[in-house]
Amino acid sequence: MAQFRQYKQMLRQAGSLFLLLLLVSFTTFMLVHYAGPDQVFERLGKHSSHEEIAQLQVTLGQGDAVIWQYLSYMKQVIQLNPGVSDMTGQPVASTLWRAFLTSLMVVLPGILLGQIIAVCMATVAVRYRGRPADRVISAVSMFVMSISFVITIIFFQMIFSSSDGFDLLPVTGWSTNGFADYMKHVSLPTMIIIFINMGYNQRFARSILEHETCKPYVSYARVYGVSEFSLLIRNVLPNCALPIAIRFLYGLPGTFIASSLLIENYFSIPGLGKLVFEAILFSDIPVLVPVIVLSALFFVLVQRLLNSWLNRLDPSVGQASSTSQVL
Amino acid sequence: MMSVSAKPVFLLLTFLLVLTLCACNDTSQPAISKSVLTIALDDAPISIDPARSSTLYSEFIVVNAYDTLFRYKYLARPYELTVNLAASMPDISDDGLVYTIKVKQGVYFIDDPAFQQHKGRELTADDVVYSIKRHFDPASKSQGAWLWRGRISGLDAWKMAGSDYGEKVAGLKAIDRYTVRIELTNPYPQILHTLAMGFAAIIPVEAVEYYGDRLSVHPVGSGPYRVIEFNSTGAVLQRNLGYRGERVDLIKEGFGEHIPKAYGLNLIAGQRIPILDQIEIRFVSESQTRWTSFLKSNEIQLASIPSQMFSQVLEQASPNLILRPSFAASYQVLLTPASSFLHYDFNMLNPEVGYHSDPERNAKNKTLRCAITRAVNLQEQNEKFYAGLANVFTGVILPSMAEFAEKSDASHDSYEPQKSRQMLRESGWTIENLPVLDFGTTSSTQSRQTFELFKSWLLDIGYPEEKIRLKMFPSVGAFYKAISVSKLNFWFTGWTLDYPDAENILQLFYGPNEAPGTNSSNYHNENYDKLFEAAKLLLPSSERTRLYQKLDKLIRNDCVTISGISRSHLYAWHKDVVAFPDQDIVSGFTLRFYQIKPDD
Repeated sequence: MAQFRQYKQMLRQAGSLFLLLLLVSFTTFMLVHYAGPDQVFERLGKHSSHEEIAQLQVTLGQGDAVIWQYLSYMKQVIQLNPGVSDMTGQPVASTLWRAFLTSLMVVLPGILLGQIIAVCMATVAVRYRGRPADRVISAVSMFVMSISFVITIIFFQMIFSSSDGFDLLPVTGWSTNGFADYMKHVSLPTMIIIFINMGYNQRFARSILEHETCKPYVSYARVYGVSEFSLLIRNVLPNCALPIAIRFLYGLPGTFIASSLLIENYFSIPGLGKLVFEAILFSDIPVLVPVIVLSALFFVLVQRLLNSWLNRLDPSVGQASSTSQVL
Repeated sequence: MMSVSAKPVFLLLTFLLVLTLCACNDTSQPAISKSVLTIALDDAPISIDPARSSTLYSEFIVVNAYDTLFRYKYLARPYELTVNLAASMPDISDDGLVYTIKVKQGVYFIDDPAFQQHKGRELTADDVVYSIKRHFDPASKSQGAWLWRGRISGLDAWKMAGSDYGEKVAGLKAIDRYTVRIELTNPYPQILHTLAMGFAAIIPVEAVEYYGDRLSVHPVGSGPYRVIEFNSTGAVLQRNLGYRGERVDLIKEGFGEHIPKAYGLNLIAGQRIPILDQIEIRFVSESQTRWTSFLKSNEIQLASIPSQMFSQVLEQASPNLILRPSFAASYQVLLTPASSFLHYDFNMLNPEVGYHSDPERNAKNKTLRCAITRAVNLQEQNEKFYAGLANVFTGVILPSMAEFAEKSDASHDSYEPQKSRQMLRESGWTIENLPVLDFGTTSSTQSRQTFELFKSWLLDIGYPEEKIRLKMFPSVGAFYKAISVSKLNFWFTGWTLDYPDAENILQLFYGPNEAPGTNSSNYHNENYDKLFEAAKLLLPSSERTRLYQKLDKLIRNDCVTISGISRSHLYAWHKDVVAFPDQDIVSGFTLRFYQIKPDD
């Protein structure tokens, strides 16, 4: 009986996942189709004739009803063949995969290190709550939060990469020949991503940590003379890991896309962000739909993963509850 | 106590420090070798397939990977054609209809898996014929067929019959292994220019069959360089070792007084082409990044300077150019007029501002257009947006062209807001009956600012604010579409010349080219069309100049377009580079002549 229930639940989950993906792909397709630029004119440019326009419309399958265009596209996707990019004529699957790997190399170090540094700062801030160290960290966070991403990029490039500054790190020409070369190119993007995410992450971690230190067990431990730092790192921090990790994972797709979009355009790196940006400008459906469907899939998977993880970590969360209720 | 528990934090910080340090002190990277040059392009090519090389950026790469029959002289200004793959300039029949072009012998394509045994074969006249035919094959999705549509006898019919390469085209034949014969339907003096464009690059049929869509990133040609890397952010070109051993002849390239001695161009005389072993091209559309990268000692060595940065480079722009001393110490610059111009167009098919069936309203609309023309202060736009470095001119023939004439009758289109107000008043235009102007443009901050400036001019002549509306389009494609389906009555746009002949501008107003063609303002004037048809058949001559100027005058008389501003390019390069850059016409052909000064 219990097993039957489990199957049923799995089936329901699979069903809802399928529906979600269908909805996402359909919405994207329609949005790009109706709101995006018309590819015919994008491609033909200035010297077009009526005859060429009609011909290209046929080539692109624009003569068919939109729903048929969508279905024929989905057929391709289900056959695991997303086709070739309208813009460059390159196979989408390999293009996306290469761009994704590049982006991962560009932004992941920054996102991970940024989170770790922010938690460290929050720990220090909570340890010295109300004291100058806390105030300085707060002020820095507020300052960082109020600066735009683009300004940060230009500012960091000026300091670390221009002849007016230290002139140490490259701003164009992404290459990864060996570890040293990779480090050289990834350092500046990493610093920028750490800087830009530091404020929010620090403020969030600090409030969670502070909330936790108000709990009775912390007071007891203090009474028994446990050192404040040891208490924070051995007990409080592990207890706060869950909400911090949840927020981190939920934010991951968004942070990933936002960072890669701006960083890659300003450092001219051939990653996912640059690819998507150009695909949007060109309304390159074969590139856009897989990206959006995959990021939706990623989000759903993260949610599923978190649910089961939560169950294991904290049985009181219960079978049916969702993470949003926990938060 | 504390030091123990805080260990992870310190460890982490140390790790981070080491990370940054090891990145900064990296010495494993060799210094830029003297024979490798890194340059920047303002944007990325989408495809480097000759059939789809419609942008300047695509063409820039294409003409290096492939050969064209003709090319532009490196240093001659105004631009002049010279031979490239062709053995000599063509034999042209007296009626201007038959062109016989000899192709150089012993030219080989690069070695590539597309060929038998991966060995590049000899390029022959058949390849030239094939490469042009390919534009008329729907499978190649050509963007360049307009160059030869209706021009070469039998070519359009060949397309209608199904583009079968086995079928001969009467007007496009290889008469022997090294001779191409082109027969035109009508004289087309510009055809030599078209044969110097990326579209006319010579591609072997084997590559098309072998690579298919992948041709857009993988060229197989016989040009001076081979592309060893290409993606959306850059390309690496490496010397084609099998390139014919021609040497630089400075006189033939148009070397002369107009070239500053300080550029050191005499150094390249007699050098083997291409001079450099490797050229790295980075596509950097963010102008801030391009600028920062250029100022570094070890990145981009040659780039065009974005107009926002002009003030950081120039002490003074006019009457003569003075560089800031700190900049002049390490860099060379070249200020050169662009082969493009910006203009405001009216849609003549729109009855509100253009043609009207009622002759009285028709005349009234014309007065409206002419009044708006007088309200536009192009000089102000030049100073606000282009650091005063652009050329403001009247008419549509660019000041850099031989046919340009200073207008003595500037009364038609010079800036005269008072006259403009008076014209509106006298022809019965009032706040109530003035039409709504939809200012169409592509989306960008500068477009918005341009609109605001334009609005201020119109407010100045009493145009009601609510009747001047901004219509922004997210992409060039969307903008073209709106123009093509005549959705707009007014817009701000630019035209970049395909080749340096005023015919390429004058055709913008030729009736049969109406939207969705290039005559996007839908100007229809029988007199104009007749004169244009006569002028386009002529070789450069005083008669043609007279006709061009007449055509120019007709456009101005009818106030079809408010023209224009021709921007300037400001190129800068590091002093150890020997270059004479040009992104517009000589474009990619410049690369083979670039040199890095040998160490003293």
